[in-house]
Amino acid sequence: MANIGYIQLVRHCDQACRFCSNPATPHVLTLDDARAQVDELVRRGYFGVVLTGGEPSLSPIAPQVTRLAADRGLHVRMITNGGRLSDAALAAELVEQGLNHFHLSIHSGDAAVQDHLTGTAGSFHRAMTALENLGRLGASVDINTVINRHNADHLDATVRQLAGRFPFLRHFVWNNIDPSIGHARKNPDVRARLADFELSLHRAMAWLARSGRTFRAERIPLCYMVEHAHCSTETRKIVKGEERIVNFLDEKGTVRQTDFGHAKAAVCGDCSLDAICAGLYDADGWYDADELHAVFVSAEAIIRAVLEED
Amino acid sequence: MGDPDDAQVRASLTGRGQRVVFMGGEPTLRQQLPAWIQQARSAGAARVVLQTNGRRLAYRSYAASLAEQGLDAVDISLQGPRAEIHDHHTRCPGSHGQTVAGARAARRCGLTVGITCVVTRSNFRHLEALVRLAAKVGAARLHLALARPLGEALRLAPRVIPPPALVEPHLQAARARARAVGLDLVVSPPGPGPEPPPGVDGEDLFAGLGWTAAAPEREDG
Repeated sequence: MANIGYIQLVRHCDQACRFCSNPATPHVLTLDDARAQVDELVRRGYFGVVLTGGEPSLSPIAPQVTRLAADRGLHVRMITNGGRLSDAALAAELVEQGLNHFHLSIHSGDAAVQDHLTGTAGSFHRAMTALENLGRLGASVDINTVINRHNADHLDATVRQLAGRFPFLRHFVWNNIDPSIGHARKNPDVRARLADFELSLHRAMAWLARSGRTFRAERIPLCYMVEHAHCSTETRKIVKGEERIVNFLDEKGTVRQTDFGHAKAAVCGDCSLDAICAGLYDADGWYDADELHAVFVSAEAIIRAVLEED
Repeated sequence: MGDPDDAQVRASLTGRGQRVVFMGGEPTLRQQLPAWIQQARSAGAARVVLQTNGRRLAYRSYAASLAEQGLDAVDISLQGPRAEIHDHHTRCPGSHGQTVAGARAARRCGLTVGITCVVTRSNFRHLEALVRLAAKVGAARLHLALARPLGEALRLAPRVIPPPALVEPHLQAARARARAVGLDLVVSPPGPGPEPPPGVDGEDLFAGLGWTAAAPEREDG
């Protein structure tokens, strides 16, 4: 098992994403608190830690937290919008401190769509500059994309465009939006139904698989990603019995997540993937249990694929 | 609308040379069905066809009685090559075994057998296997009807109707398998490609199909 923990460094941000699920709070992490959280992950035998936020690169202690986590043997990553990493000096400083794996949040290959979604003019071009900087520094970079109505029809075009321009991108992560919390609740235009993105997600996954790249998708029931079910984040954790710890800078505090299941529909009882599928996130909110359907493919083959790709 | 009564059905079975298709609901639930078939045949029907879930045909004596009264062909609804897939669609455990047995019994009684499958999100990945099963039971034609947003499928469209682009590779595999095993395969709506035989419109699956085209039943498993 390769458990990974999350530490929020700050909750403020220099963007205003229309679907942000961790909107700003007044809290910032102190170095002492960061040290305690790192110690706890090490004590539990975690493989790595993801520095997140808000926008973690805005935290003045980001380089120190990186160094102390790396010194304790943790693999350190950062989820970032890349805005500040368009500053080549800051990007170089973080890499020098031991941060050499970034998840860059890019939601569309269309600059206008990206800037609309982030509520920040120029955010797409700054993210492209960050990719150029990180590529020069030899860092590993994954792309994180939040699936929403505005990018639902071109997820495939986005991965082809980004991987074409930056061949060092080898891993893509899709997170379906939290449709009923945070900014998505006040921006209902971002909410898409599962069928709205199913085809473009399938094409994106198929293209990445053919190109030898890897990917993960979270909050998507397996009946909407059957051909690539072994790449479901929740399914992989269910199969491998993994957990994750998230240290929030809000009233939730520290959350240790060991159950990755969401809601199921009656038809799920007939589905061959029921035991390894997390089900439908937010079934009582935006989504509808009628969107789920049973499929009859081999769960054993998917389990084998999960374990072989580990 | 309720079921037509005996007199209403009989009144419609008078035309010489007409194509008669008994459909439902499930027409084998009507006790008068053998008599209606006999009347249609006596009146000079050109062809008498039964659309059915096929379960009652599993009783060999029942299938034989329909054949004796003059039934020509059965269009049997089969929603998947395996029990769990078919029974999920019919919401009736055990129905797959009965339907397949019904198709075999119909062939043994000399009836032409066609199979219709409504292609849904839950079965489109198994079309090639369905072709194999249809050939094995001796079907003359397999009709793959792509689910459309009508009736129950309208209310449940996201759960029922698959994106055509995801279905297409499986249709291609089914077509290739059908060619390999010599099974006549029609898809509706047809999409790009050759037009289907006239009459394959949900009423008469056997339109345009020569009566001698039925493959012999295979007993090899």
